[in-house]
Amino acid sequence: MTALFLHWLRPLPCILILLSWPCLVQASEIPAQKVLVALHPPPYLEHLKLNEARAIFTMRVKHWQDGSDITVFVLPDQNDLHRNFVVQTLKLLPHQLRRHWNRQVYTGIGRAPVEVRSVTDMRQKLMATPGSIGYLPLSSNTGEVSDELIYFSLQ
Amino acid sequence: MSLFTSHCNKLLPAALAMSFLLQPDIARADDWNWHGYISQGAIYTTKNEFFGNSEDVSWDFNSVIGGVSWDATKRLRFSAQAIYRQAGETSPDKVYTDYAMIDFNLIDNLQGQMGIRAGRIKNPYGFFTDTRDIAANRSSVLLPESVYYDSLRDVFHTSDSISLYGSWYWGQHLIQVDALSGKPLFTEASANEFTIPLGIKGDFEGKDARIFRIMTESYGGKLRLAYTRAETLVKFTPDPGTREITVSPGVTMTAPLNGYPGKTRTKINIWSIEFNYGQWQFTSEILDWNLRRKDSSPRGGTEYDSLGMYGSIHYRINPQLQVYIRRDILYRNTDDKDGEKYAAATGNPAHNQYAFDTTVGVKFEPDDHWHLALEAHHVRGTAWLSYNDNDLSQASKKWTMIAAEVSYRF
Repeated sequence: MTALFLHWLRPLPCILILLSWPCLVQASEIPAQKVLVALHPPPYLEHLKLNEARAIFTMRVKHWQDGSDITVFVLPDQNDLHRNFVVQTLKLLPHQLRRHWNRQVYTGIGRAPVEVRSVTDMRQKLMATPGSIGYLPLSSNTGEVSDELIYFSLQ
Repeated sequence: MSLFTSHCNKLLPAALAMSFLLQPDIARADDWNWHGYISQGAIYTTKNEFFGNSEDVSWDFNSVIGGVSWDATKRLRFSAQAIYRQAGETSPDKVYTDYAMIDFNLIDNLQGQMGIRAGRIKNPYGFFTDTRDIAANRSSVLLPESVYYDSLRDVFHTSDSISLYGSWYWGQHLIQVDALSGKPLFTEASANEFTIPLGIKGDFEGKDARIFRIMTESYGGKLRLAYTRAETLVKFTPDPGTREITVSPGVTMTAPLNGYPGKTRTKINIWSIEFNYGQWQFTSEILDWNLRRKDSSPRGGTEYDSLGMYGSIHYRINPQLQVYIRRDILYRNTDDKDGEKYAAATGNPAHNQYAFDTTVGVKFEPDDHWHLALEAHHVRGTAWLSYNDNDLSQASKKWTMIAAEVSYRF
């Protein structure tokens, strides 16, 4: 019995180190920033529901209702604006979104979104690509009404 | 006329189906997508062997993947992936087709998606099987062996089959369903796991595999649940030959040299749960495996249940770095958990029938492409070690393993 008890105790030092680690290393926090979905939409589309946006950004739906292609633009995983958008707007977990994309690509059932390098790059590509969707920070520049893009918060 | 009508009756649905699939849009260059993945691992064990000669540090733990997909039309998609993988003696040392399939998309709108796939398909089995080769999607360097048994990876990883899939949102819940029917792949390495311990030789043929999985993701992924039901049927044909067995002094009988022909049906249930709270992630899966073999032996066959389960805790220190701890338990036969009956009947060590594995590890993902991980296992028991890599009758009961892996994907 004692031997069994000791056997279960053996990993205890490792557990204690792991559990105390969070206290030693401060977890990173994402600076709050208002992010809007930016859409270069088919003519009829003016807004999206939360679950519809989730279906698009998890890359499970590939076409708009009129049959035109959906092109999804995202910033790199580690980008604060990307994490902000995923956590606060899509209300998903960034690592799970990446897991969805990996599953799509490496099991052959779909594709990953197009990764852009910067907000400027995102805006340019959105404007140049009909049927595309991405996200931009709410600032004086992006708040302007554009002929090509519409901006909205998710319902 | 009736013949013409009959032909029309057959051709019309086919023509409609073709016009449905081959809608008048021309494939563009960006409808082709390429991807790849490369990984190299290292394994060190204090005793016993895992993925090669690990007592001297094994580097036979690597994979190279190259894949392509083509959206031919809005509803028709082709995809294929080739893999070269080394995993000690447990995997075929060659380039082979990992998957190659056609995907017919029946429903594709913002509310839900549904379709049919045919070809060589990754099996929807538990949380991790379909992406088990991708380090970033694994929870650790080595998946918990009680549920994702590496020695039989090939059997459970892919199958030549047809599958029906669907996903849709229901309030706060994403529901994903997969149903698959086809033939399991039974490699020589997988067959060895059954023939070596019995000292027999013969051919295994995967006859039938049916898998159903329902998976839910609720509250933005904070709670994930899955249930998998898998059934396989495998036929065994022994190599010819006979031998004399002494039943009692002076009395002998003739028996097949390589065992009796028969069929083995396995029924597997897996319950999976993952809970995310802040930077914490709790994951657990339980596997119940019923194996029933019917053959032409005097006993007529055998039947037993295996039980595997694990629980793990992951903590994300920051988006790039996470640490984890896991406890993984496997009982080969639930009626003989301590293996004493097995030891008495075979003379082999009782610890061949169970394994208790405590793992601690760390993962580092500096960007979207690189992945590095290091973990340590303390194991009591040898139930999930491979017969291809080990003489398990001589294996050590208590052993330690260090596993490391670096990978790059694009």
